[in-house]
Amino acid sequence: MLVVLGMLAVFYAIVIGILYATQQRTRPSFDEYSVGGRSYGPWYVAMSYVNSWWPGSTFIAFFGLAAGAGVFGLYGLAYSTLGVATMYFMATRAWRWGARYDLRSQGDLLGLRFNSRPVKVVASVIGIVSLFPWVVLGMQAFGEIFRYASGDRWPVTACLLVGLAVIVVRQYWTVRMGMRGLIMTDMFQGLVAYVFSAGLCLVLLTGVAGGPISFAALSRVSESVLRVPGDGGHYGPLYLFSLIFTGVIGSLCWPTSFQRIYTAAGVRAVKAGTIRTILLSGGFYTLLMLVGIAATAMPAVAANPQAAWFTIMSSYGGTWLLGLGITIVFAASMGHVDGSVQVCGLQIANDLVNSGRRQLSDAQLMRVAKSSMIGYMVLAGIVAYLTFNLTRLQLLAQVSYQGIVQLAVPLFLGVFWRGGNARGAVAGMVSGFAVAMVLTLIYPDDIAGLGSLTGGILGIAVNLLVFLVVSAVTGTPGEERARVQEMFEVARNPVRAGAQSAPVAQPLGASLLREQLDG
Amino acid sequence: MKDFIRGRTRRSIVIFFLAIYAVTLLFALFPPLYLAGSGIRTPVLGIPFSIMYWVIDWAVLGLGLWGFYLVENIRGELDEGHPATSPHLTGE
Repeated sequence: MLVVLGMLAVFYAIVIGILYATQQRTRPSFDEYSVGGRSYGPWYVAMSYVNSWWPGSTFIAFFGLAAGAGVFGLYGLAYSTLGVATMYFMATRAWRWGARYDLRSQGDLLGLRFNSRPVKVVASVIGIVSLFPWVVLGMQAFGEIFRYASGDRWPVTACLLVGLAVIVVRQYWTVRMGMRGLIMTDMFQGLVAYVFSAGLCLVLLTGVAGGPISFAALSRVSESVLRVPGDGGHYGPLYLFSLIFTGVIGSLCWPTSFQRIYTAAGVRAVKAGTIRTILLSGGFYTLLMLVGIAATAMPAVAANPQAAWFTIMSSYGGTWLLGLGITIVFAASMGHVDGSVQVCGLQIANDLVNSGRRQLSDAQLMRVAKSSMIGYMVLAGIVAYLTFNLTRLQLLAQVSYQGIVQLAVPLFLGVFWRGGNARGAVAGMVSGFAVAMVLTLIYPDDIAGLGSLTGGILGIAVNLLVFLVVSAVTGTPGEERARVQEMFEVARNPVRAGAQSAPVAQPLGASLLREQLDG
Repeated sequence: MKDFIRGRTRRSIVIFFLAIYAVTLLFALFPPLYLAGSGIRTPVLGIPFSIMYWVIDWAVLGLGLWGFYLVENIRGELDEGHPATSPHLTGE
């Protein structure tokens, strides 16, 4: 127990040490606090994305899926890499708009594109609400980590409280430093959680460590392990489609993922960062899944696939390797919770509290963001404590996933198409979100009568239909069409250092928009 | 080769790489394709095809996008500097 706890303590001390050493001594502007001054290169962008994308539960739930159901686990590879690829295609327009119009959040972009505060608020609220169950689950994962680390000797409540204390101390720095603190530690946390674990998986697969896991073992796995849902079993043929489609279009809907575009130093950094993310994510996740599939032959793994990662570590290397495995999960969990809390604090301050009628100064924005992060964290901590033994909380996380993808309609159509309007965007998001929530509560997994489609997919269909119909019926004034046209023209030209932003800096209709929203 | 790449229109290049992306999407999303790849033990590089199906899809996507990046780099379409920001006008 002491060895494992000691390893966690060393890792944690290094993280805090990095934060202390890299803290900004001067008072940052809100732009620096929220998006790191748009100054980070591709490796930072990539590692930050990977950290916010793969939580600690990847080593428990996804690894357990591979260890229990086999090739099914690889659906995560498809949706994660195909999803982040959309960042490449969106990069030029999203980054240039961000730089030209000083956008700091996903809600900012949607608000600007549709010239509407309600669009901004609804999009931001959906993002904040959808992230909440994941932060709660992330905090509970810390409790689980300490349960494993203590060898089940500490009571459950003590494990959760220690886990919460650890993340609260870490969050002190996130609140204090904002995006900079996040990005600096994401690099180290990511190296431990994803690069190091990928290396560990590779060593296991080469067979040098002996034991049942190896590349050769993959050719001996049972027939059922090689089948995906829909190929036999109780799921219909559209189940896998639903999971992957939701994941692909949902990837940039998560505020934590989208935010990475605005932290980048330029379009080149976003695109190079996307390539690195695909290689990092794909390499790490493929190796992890191969180990999981190869381990299906281990009786102890088959008995409890959710604990497979820890079982394998322990059986291969005793306490030391188990400690390393737990530290890897710890690192992944920390990166995910950090990113979520930071972006929610930012969105509450920037998208919800700040408005045309109540314009906040940089100092006020930072104060609101910091206090929002603290409030969000405290609330998540209380819920994590009260629901630690409730399995239904996982359902909330499922619902939230089906909900967050409803941002995809205005986000993708808004970036790639000049049509649509604010009324269509709001009506679409609200109706799609409601349909997805209700259907997922009734059918948490799939809708058998529809070939195993999920509620989120039907929500998106409703969302898209409502968006197009309401936009067509309510129409778009010529002035608004000209403003959108101007925005798309702005995105055609590079944003260069010291460039004069006028006239594109004052897009047609911006003043009108202010007047309209300020009443 | 560089002259050839620079000589193409932006539109033709985008269509080419979008087509690669569309193919990888199709293999991941179209049930007849992924169900056809399910349950096949035939080894590819020593690993059953059913597993390699998803790995190959990822590899084609990653290499395709990397190729797109290299082409855009050759054509000088990635250069960007630090921003000269306008006032904060987002949806206000």
